[in-house]
Amino acid sequence: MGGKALPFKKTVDIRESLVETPLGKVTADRYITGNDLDGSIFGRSSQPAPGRSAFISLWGSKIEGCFVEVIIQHAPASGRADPTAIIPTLLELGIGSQLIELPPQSKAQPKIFSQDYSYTSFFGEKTTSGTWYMTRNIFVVDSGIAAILAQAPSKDTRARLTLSNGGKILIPIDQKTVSSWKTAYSFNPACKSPTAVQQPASTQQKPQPPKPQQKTKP
Amino acid sequence: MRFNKKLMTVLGGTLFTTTVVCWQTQVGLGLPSSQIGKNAENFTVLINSEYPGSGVIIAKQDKTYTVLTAEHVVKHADFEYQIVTLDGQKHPVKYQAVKKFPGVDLAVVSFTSDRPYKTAPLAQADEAGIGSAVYTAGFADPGQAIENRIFQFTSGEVSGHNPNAKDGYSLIYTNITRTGMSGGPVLNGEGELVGIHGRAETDVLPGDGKNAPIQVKAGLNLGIPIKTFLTLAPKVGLKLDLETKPTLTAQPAAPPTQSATQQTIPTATPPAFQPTSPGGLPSRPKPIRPTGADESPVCAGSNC
Repeated sequence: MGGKALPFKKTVDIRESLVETPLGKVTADRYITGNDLDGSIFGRSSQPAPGRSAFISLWGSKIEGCFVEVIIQHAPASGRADPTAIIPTLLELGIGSQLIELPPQSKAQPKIFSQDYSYTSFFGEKTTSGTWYMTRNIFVVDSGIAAILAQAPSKDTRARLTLSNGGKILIPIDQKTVSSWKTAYSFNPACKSPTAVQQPASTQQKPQPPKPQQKTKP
Repeated sequence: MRFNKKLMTVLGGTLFTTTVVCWQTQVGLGLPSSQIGKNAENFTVLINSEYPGSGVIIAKQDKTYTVLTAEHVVKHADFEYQIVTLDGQKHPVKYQAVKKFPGVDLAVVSFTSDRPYKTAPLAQADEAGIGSAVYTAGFADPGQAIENRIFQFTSGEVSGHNPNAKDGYSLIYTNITRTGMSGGPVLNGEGELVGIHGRAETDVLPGDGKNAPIQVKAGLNLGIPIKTFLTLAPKVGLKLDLETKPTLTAQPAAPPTQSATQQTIPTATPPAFQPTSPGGLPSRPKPIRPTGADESPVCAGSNC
């Protein structure tokens, strides 16, 4: 839980894992909240615990276009939860005086995961078993939105998620992440795949995914 | 009239008693709590990260300031930490320079600045005695009513000492604390640092078949005495030019019903209400939405 291995607040390359070809750029941010007492007293870890929620956002551009992805992880304080309640229906951003509304990508169904976990309190007296839930949600970003994000003032920014159950959650986006949007969306500021842009091949600036080389007959 | 005479007698007695009590309080307190609160605001810092906490500036050498805090406030090596001082300046923390104390929940972090910041005076080795007034300070997490992170300063008294405490938390007091105040100062009636706050006593309410057990704060809070820090500091190679003073013991406790915050932190005066004509109301910003929602989904991974 909490995306511990992700490099947060800086832009990193997305690469084809087999041949290292650059495919895009992404910046990750994380916000963890929860009313668990262990966390409040001893500092929260990224492990699941009753009442803890993590909001991981991924911002960037790829050869195919631009994206904002929000991963929500939630461990109910007690009992089980309806995971569809943590599927967002809208992502809003306040950039300067501009209000940005990003709807979910309609062709990408949110992915829902759940897993049982056990949590031992710092006090070591109680071990709690529970279930944590995760949804992965993709939002629409076009070149206009990407340009606004890339030019966003470098300061702490707030996002607001509207969930399917009507709940609204304010999520702070760190100033370093906001500063990194400039490079994250610089990979493909047009937010279109080269085939969709239909430019002449000679003017295409974006790197192409490597084409598999076919063996020639001897 | 007889009733009035009795009333006057009672009132007179009350007035006299009140006067005596107030006078005794003024004599007993080393510093007015308002002054202690003001000083604390100067040397208490916010340690900002994904899980913010508090700290105390305890020393300055050249341009380098040393901040004492609880180890769990700066626990995660993969987090970025900033020390935010009273003037709003954010000072980055080099995690390699964080010194963690063995066996106790203490750590020191440092930052450099050209600006002048006050340091907390440290009490000498004696513990604050049971019944003596103590104050806690720090930057409490936002809550339901207080929606932003602000400096808080609360009064209470030492309620006990636990020599067998885990992680050095032997100082017990009655102050109200909240998440985010971990690492903040515990000050005596002289405004000297007698401990570092960082833990709360809890009760576990048993769960049933449907609900998990719930931990609730019991009201008592715990800190690590400054003498623990002074004892261990040389063992972690810490040589500081510290300002230490002997601790006074058994000072009268601050009135439990009145938070020192109420005396010390001036509340902001809300702007005067000015009726606005309907035409003068600001309009809701027109949202900007992307186009092309029906295009193929794009995500960070290869499979959206």
